[in-house]
Amino acid sequence: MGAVLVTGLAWALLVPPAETPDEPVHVAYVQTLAETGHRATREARAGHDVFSTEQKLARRLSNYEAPVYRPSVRPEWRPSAFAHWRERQRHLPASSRRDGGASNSAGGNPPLYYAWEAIAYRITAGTGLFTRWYAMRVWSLVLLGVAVVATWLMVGEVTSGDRMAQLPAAAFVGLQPGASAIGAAINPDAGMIAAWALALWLGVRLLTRGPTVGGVLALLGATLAALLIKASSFGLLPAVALVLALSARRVLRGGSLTLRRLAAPAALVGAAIVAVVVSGAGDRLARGLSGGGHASLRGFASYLWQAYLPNLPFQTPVRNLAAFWGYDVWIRSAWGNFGWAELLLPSAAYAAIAAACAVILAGAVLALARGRFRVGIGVLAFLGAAAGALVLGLHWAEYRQFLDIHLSLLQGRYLLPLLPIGGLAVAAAIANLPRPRRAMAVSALLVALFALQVFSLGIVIGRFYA
Amino acid sequence: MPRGARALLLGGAAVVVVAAVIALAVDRRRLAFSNGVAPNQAVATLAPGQRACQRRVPVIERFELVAAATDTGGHPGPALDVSVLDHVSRRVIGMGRVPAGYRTRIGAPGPAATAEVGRVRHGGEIDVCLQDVGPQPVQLVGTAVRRSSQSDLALGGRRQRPAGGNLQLTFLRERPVTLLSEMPVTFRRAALFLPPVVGAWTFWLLAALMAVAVPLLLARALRLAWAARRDDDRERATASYP
Repeated sequence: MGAVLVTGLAWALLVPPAETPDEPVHVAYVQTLAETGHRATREARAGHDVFSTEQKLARRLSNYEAPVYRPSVRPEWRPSAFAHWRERQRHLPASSRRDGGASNSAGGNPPLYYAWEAIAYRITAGTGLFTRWYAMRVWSLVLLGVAVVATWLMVGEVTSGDRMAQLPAAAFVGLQPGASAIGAAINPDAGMIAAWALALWLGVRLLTRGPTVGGVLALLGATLAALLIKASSFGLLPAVALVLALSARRVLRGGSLTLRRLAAPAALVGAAIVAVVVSGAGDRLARGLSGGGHASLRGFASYLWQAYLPNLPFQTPVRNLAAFWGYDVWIRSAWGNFGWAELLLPSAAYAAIAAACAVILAGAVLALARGRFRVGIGVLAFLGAAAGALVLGLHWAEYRQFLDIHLSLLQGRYLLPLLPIGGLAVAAAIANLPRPRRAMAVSALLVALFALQVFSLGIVIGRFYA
Repeated sequence: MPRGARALLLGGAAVVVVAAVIALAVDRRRLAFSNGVAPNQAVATLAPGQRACQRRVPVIERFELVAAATDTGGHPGPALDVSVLDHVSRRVIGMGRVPAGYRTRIGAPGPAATAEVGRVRHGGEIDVCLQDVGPQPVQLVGTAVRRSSQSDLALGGRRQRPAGGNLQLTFLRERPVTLLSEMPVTFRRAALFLPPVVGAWTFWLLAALMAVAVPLLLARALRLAWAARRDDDRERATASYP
């Protein structure tokens, strides 16, 4: 955790404000929520802009958005610019913080992550915007810590507390550079990683230890939290439903099911439905799942094929879908593109990462097949359902974007909630090795993650400050 | 914990740190600073013989070359005379020429229209003036502003009129410097908008923690995990989990 904290702090403090994906609109959302108690909205509102007067001033005087997608441009470097901003900020009226929150592209997001960030905002409310900004980043980093702990616990459930399995899995989540960069940014994807890790741990816990009312309530609570962070958390629902069904079966077989024991979980499910409806996440899901004019299952299957494999002669090419795009998302985008996704590692690094991931995946399958790493069929089904639903859901959304606007907005960071499953796969792959060599394999993994962190941070320094 | 694993972890981390320092030492850069204007669109057309001045550019590092963002549509661009004036005294403190023949497009990578103007020391504000001395016009590229009166780019000779935006200028050094030698200044820049209690020292501390503490913490975690496992093994001598 100490290593995760240090690397996370480096990310939080080194990356200039606004130089992570969509950060300005997320900051505007938090500010609106913290200052007025209302959510930001996608719709226009009289007297309100996307950004508050205070944020617009900071934006202009720090030049923080000009470098986005512009490699030749740097953020403001002059101390006099900082002094100028501080002087102007000091004379802003309180109302200058409350006139944003309209026409916000993040306005459709549920509010829970922003409410979490609003705590840091309120604690530092007496400071300038940039201090609040960095405080929110550091506060968001706590959620990466939650994901690391949850992964540790999840792998502990599977392996009966084998520390040599828990360590690489947790390190995989906490030191993966893409997760560090997003975890140390103001972005609901940071909340997604944590909420999914919690839900995955609690689901595995229910399956390995057997159902309890508290366990069911905790799983439903984590799922509800994930749903109130981002609509794509609906991908969790099939997996959670599976866990509940398996748990119910065990209880029914044991003959211990009573109305009283059902009451609390049922109440939470009801509350979840109400919260999802109120938050608008359900509308977003319905829009996402609706077929649109040209969407079809056959077209989707063809798109999926083309995303990962070369076109077949009879297939109609999907416009603007690059060859092997799917791998780009999984490897390049999920592992290491920083800033607004324009800062990249050298190509050879992605090839090495792809090869390492392939080895881990094959190793995990081998370990499961050989019985070297025992995971119950229920747990496998649960994790597989979660991963499958998220990946298919994201691809369906992307397929529809290709149909509508001939462009993809799919980013690798949307897949980061699956990192705990990746961590479990790492632990499984290592279990193939003879015991003395497992420590060597964990060492090699930690060195590789450390190297990725160091060189990724170096790229950030070179991009923005030299 | 097996000695080999500890050696691999700490030795590997040391190699990573040394490799990172070497990477910083061989990464040589000429950028002194830029005026922070994004090259979004053409903001003015410089006709043959016409002059344009981007005014009040703060000089935050010394430089010897000036690169102006232009768009020649991919065709050979005209020669440009570049002069650097002290904004207050209007004294010329640097002068040079962009040779004809450069080819540029908005958003396309490639060499910019660059002139050697001689050494200009840091401090104060300058005006950078470009004059088209070729037979064809060239587009000046930068960021548009809502009101032309807000632009610091002026067109014309004595009776200048503001353009619809600001010109992107990049100021370069004659000799590149290594990123390693620039670390102190990069950390000062990184600390600029951070809370007052945080300064460049924070980044030196973080760098030290990354280089030393993180590998040691990871080694400690591995040692504890290994020790816990051995304890578990003793307790569960017949455990089925491998």
